[in-house]
Amino acid sequence: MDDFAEFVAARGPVLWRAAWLLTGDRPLADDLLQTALTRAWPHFDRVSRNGSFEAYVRRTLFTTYAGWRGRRWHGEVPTGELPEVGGLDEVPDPDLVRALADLSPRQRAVVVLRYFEDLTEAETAATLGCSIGSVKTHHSRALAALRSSSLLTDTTLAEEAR
Amino acid sequence: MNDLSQRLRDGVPTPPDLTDVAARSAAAGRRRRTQRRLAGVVAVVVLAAGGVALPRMLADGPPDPAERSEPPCVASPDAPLAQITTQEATWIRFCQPADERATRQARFSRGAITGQLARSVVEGFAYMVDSECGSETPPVPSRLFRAQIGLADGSVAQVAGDTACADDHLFFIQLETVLRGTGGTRDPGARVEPRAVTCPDGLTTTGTNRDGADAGLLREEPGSAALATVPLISGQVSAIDVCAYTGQGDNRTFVEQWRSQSVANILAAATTGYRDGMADCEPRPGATSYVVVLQDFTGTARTFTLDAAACGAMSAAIGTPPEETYLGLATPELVRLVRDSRTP
Repeated sequence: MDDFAEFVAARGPVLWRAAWLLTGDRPLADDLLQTALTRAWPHFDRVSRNGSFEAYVRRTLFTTYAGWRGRRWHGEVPTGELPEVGGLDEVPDPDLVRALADLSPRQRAVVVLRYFEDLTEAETAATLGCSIGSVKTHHSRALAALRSSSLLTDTTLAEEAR
Repeated sequence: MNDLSQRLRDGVPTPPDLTDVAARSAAAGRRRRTQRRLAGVVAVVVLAAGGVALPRMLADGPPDPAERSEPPCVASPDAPLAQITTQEATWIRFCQPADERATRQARFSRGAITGQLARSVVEGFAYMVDSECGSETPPVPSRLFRAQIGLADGSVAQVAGDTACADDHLFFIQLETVLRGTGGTRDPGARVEPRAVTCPDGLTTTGTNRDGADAGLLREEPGSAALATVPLISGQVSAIDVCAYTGQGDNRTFVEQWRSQSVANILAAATTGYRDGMADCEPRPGATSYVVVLQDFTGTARTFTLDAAACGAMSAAIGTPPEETYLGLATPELVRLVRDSRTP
């Protein structure tokens, strides 16, 4: 197994989980991860020598997701009643998926990076290629939207300082 | 950790088996890299055609075409290819493949690139050392070629390639592009504006050729494939004119004519864009066929034809004096590029 294959075997599942939280759909998560890895592959040796290839793939994944929202997924409309095409019956927490679907792409990305990936505001800003102020704004609006959602009434949504 | 963090962690389904993802990503990554490199080549060609990039690159290089005939190919290259990553290159050129499968040999421009330009070109080829021909293979016909690279210590390394392999194809197009870009007359006074083309009555390569100052560079060397490749222009191309016809055989109807907006793309595609073989398909009299006329900056014009009514049969006016020669069957990509070349 070469180094790239070893990386995918070791870190692919973590990256796939992030892709799934962004898309809420298994095939789209597969596609998103594959696309990010394809874009990152040519830079594997260079980035691995000089830094974290996982961080590079993560950034590619999130920026690719933002680009898809603009080009490929123009048919997708955020809704509180997701169609059953995503296999929600098999999803452990369908309400969470529906609540995330109500967020804008940037808000969803910030939530996933802050609360799933445990990144700081600065790390989140670096991953998304935006300012810390922009992260704060998206973060605040995302939490406000989630708080008002009837789908997450039993969830604590503290805007913690990190 | 607050409750949302835990809920996100608990709410994600089990990831699928990712065993094949690495291999698929690597294969797709290679294709993507090749496409980007080819796009870069096309950009260089566009700049070269405009006389912008290569004159700058050639600031300390040999502009005289006479110098391009040296150094010669050697019979026994004595340096491993990996040496191109550790030593400076002093020259690079195509050489006749030492292979009996002559019909599969690529046609290439004669001459060598030397000096700083050679170093720059070879640096860009360093990836060849580790490249493998795999699933990224593009739909380009197989043509064999050989190139030799002179190194600073006097040794010579060799690349043996097949244009059906993506990386080899990229190498071939890059070297051929630079050879063509540095070939031909460099004297600005010898440049002439491209002439208007009068389309012939039928699908022929014989009525639209002209010899300018660089026509002599197209003379064939007996027994050698060291020629300017199809489309048989040795220097920079200034214009490509297209004549479109319907019908088949001797019964052609002229439809329209235009000056192509895709000079670089058509040049690159025509260089390797035909397969060996004869027309053996259902005739398509309604298909549009083309006469394509290329002119260089000295007024030399050479012509090739694409007969879409007969499987894309491709012929070209080769050499000086030009002689109509059947080359093979054009790739759909080449036909499409010519067809769509009205607009940039």
